[in-house]
Amino acid sequence: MLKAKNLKKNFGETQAVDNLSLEVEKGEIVGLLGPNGAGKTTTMQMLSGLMNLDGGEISVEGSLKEDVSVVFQETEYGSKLKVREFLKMMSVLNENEGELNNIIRDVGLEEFEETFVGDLSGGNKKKMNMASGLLKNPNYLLLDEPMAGLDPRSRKSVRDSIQEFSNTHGVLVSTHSMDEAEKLCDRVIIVEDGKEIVSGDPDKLISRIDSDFVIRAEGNVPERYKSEATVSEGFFELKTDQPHEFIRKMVDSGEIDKLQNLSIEKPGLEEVFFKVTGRRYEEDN
Amino acid sequence: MKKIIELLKSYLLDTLRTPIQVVYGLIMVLGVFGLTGFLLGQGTTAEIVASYSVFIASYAAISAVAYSITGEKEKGLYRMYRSSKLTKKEYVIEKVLMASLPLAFSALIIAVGILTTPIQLSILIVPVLILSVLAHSGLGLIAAAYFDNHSEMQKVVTIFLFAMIFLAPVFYTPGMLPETVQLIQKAVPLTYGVEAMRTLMVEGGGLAEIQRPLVLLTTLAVASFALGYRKLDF
Repeated sequence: MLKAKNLKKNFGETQAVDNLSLEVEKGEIVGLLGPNGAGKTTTMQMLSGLMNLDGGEISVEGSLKEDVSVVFQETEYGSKLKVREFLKMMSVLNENEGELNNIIRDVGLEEFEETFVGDLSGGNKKKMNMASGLLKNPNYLLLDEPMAGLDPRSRKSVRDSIQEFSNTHGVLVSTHSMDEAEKLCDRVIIVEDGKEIVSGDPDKLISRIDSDFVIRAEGNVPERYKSEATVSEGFFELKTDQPHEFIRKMVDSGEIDKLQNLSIEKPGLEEVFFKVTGRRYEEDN
Repeated sequence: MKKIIELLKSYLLDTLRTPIQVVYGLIMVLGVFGLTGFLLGQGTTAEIVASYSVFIASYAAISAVAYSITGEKEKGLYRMYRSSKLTKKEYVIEKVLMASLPLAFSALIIAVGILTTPIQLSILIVPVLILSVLAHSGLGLIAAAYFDNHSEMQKVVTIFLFAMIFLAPVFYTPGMLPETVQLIQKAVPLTYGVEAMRTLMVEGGGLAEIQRPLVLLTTLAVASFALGYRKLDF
């Protein structure tokens, strides 16, 4: 188990990480969630042994250098090396040449082996970075914002790769996307200003806050919901724990035909963040 | 050793696939060489060959190490290397070997010198050049240790390199300069590299004659390298 206890890191007067504790076990994906500047990348750097701690301790079965691999989001090469050449180099640096072909296949880069690194798409660069991290053959893989800047198809592909890897290894993913964390993580730790504000299984956290589904639609508010709906710019919004009831009534009465752009949002980690902090979590953080 | 060779191989592959870098390097060497040799109206003298062969190697050593490391820091590669099983010792050895590659330019200058002017050749040229590369690689390590940002480092290193050209007696003999400048020169490793090379190639001196600059160059090489190695957070 990768275990961190009471981690602290200061940059001058700023406390980037403040008494943060976390655990990652093999076979699970843990999400480190929070807005930009919450201390996620600093935590990743400390967990991988790349940054000294100002307080706290980190333990792992072996050593951080051998057992933990970290992949940062901003790794960017304008290199004239081809994908295979670059990964071959990383496999030599990690004393793991035997796994090179398997890892290229596992992350889905086989058809890009002869592509210059600088010419890769954003999604494939992320995959290549992940392959570089995997070549260390770590027990724990730390991924800093692995989905940032990717289109939906690439996100799905990278997510699949992470899930595949998590079958046999422990994965810690830092992300500012609550949505991604819900889809990917077995457990999440929501941080703000370097501190944990809440942690646990995403589904349990969501069910614990007792938040309603949000129905949004363009058009006039149906008569029977007028007292509970809020209206803004031609849209109305309703909160209910039984969205299927709303739909059934609209269909039965034929009012559904008068509504445009109908959507139903289930409560998510954003609501958890709101309930705990009293503030809205902006997706563009 | 395998890791060092692989890193060097990747570096060379990357560089050679960007021919503009190679052409730029050659133009720099020939341009600087030609500038003093011809624009100053001195022709290709043994003094210029001696000074420039060590100057080019030293200049390239600082640049190669400092630019390469800060470039890797900026791209995030440095963290990736640190997170791999590569050790600090292996990483630094690779940088020094990389910084030694421009010794080929020094050899080119000496070859031109042999063809155009009477110069004395000595096997001692080799250790003087290697020590100069080590001393200046150490300075490159110090610069790389203090900067995470390529452009910030570039400002400082460019000023330093520019000052080094004029502080070290590349263009002239030290005696021609004011005493205060001669004092500053004593802290610049290139001064001793140039002094040793001139003694060997112009005066035909031997080990006894270059003992003083060789000892001082070695001292500065050890000091700069030790400081740079210690400060570099890998």
